[in-house]
Amino acid sequence: MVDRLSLPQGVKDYIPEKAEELRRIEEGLLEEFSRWGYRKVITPLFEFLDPLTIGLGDELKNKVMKFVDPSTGEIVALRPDITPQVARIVSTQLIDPTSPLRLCYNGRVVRFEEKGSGKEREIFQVGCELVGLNSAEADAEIIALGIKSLGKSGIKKLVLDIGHTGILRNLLAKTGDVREQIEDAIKKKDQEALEKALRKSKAPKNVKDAIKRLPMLYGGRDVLEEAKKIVSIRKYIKELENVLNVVDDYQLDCQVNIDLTELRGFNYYTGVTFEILSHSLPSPLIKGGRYDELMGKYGHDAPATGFAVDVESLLDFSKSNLENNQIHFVVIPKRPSLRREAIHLTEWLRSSGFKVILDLNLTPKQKELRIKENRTSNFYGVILLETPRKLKLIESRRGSSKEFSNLEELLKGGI
Amino acid sequence: MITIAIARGRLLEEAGDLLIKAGYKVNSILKDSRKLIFEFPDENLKFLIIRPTDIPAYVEYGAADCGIVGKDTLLEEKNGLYEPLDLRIGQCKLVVAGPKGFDFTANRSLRVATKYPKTTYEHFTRLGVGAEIVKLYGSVELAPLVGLSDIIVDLSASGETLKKNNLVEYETIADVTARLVVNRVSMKVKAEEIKELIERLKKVRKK
Repeated sequence: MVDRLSLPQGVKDYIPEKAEELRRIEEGLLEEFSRWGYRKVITPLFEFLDPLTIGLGDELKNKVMKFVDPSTGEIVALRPDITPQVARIVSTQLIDPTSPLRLCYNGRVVRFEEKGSGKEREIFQVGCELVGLNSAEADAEIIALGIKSLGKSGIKKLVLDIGHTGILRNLLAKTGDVREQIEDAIKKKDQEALEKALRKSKAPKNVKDAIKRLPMLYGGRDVLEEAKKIVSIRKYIKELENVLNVVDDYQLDCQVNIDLTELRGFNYYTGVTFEILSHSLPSPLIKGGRYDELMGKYGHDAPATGFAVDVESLLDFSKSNLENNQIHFVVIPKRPSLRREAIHLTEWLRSSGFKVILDLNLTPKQKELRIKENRTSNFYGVILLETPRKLKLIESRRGSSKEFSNLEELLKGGI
Repeated sequence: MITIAIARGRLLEEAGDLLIKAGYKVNSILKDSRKLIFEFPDENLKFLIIRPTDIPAYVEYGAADCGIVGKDTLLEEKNGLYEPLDLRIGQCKLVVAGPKGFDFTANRSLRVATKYPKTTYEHFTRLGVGAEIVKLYGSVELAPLVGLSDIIVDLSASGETLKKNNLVEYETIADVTARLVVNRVSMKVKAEEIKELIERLKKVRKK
């Protein structure tokens, strides 16, 4: 039996502390994006299923929450990803062949997850897309922006995990009917299962040898030198190296890990892909990469790269700055006849930048509680309006009270 | 520091022996049977002793970087873990078994008792047999004897337990050994440490 007031699995509420923190993180990221010239777009929460799924990777296609639009009988879907929507907007409304587009967004996406998987179904995302450039510089800009914006949010010890989809796309295309087994083994980094599957494959020997060596090729920059020895993938390794060389010039404080067998978003990405990880979290903070085939599916062929941040994972990091969201004053008139003066006084304080609660109608008990709360805060006081010319300020922390004849005096001598 | 999740019992002994052979001085995990956390700062290792079926969750959520767990558990539950090494310990089979003389392929509908409902369902679906699955948590061999199910799907190491209960093995679903599993992020942020662990274990495992 479902409790009448309970929520479905995978969604949740955010009480003020969390909600304010989440907003602060989102705004911080968007502000950094806008400093880099990325302009914001807003896309609908749901749209027709078909255009949405054109642009989804295989992993997300099975996770779309859909329903029937009662007014038309059409199937509509809650967005599981915002990038396809951005691709649709670019293709239909923002075509400009002369200059690259830099766009960003924030919003919630919805994904179907199995019961008991413990995974959220509603995910807060902030992301950006760089459309129209197919260069190492563009890939590096997106990576640097990701790392910088996390750094600004106070997250240290980041790891850039980077790879190139071209490598496996190219090699796996030649493996024939055991491809699925090979993919599964690569996904698990299971060397023995991989070798077993390769023995069954009719692929050319050089392809098999290349695939066999890939799972060992992860770690620091020296992996690239090793990988260049494999002729069939050298082209991609060079592309990857070019991107890393540009990233170097940004002089970011970030460890680099190369992984040439990352299969994430395999049918969606077309070039350099990356994740930004932290030592202290079990899942990536940022996922992104180059997807040059997506725009074309919406009718406007253009290269693009971008990333999305899992905002909620950043919540664990932020040291909530209580003072930021702290109320400064509570104004309480002693009698109902002082209402107009109390409102005036409150507005004056608010316009001076203070956060002020106006309590026009409190029982004596509530008034007492108001004075007692927030004892730990340095900036908090209850202003009792006794007459138009008599303000009594009670500081919660010290419990002391002082009287003033007007606000200016209070602000000068009070806190 | 690498945290490894591992289950108590026979597998712990075999894994402990393997680690010691690989040169890790972790002898005490084989001795104190009530402790749940073992730390070896000199070896940069920490062990969590938990239930076998809980291991994938601990590793996926990063409570442990690595785990040592049977392939049976990994088959049963879909997860996003790396499985870089077959440790070749805890060798056994996941089998379909039942009373002697019972032709399970002749039945289009069967009742099967098992601790592995998902793997069982997939197996019988592949065979085109409609199987009603009864999920049990232990003593699965009992089920056909008392009419709870027609047959069972369970682990069998030597076949001894099956024989004692007058059951025979019909077919093998999977060969099972213990694997080293690794959290996706740990594999990358602790790349060197984990690479070393894999290499050292690989050298001393059974040929």
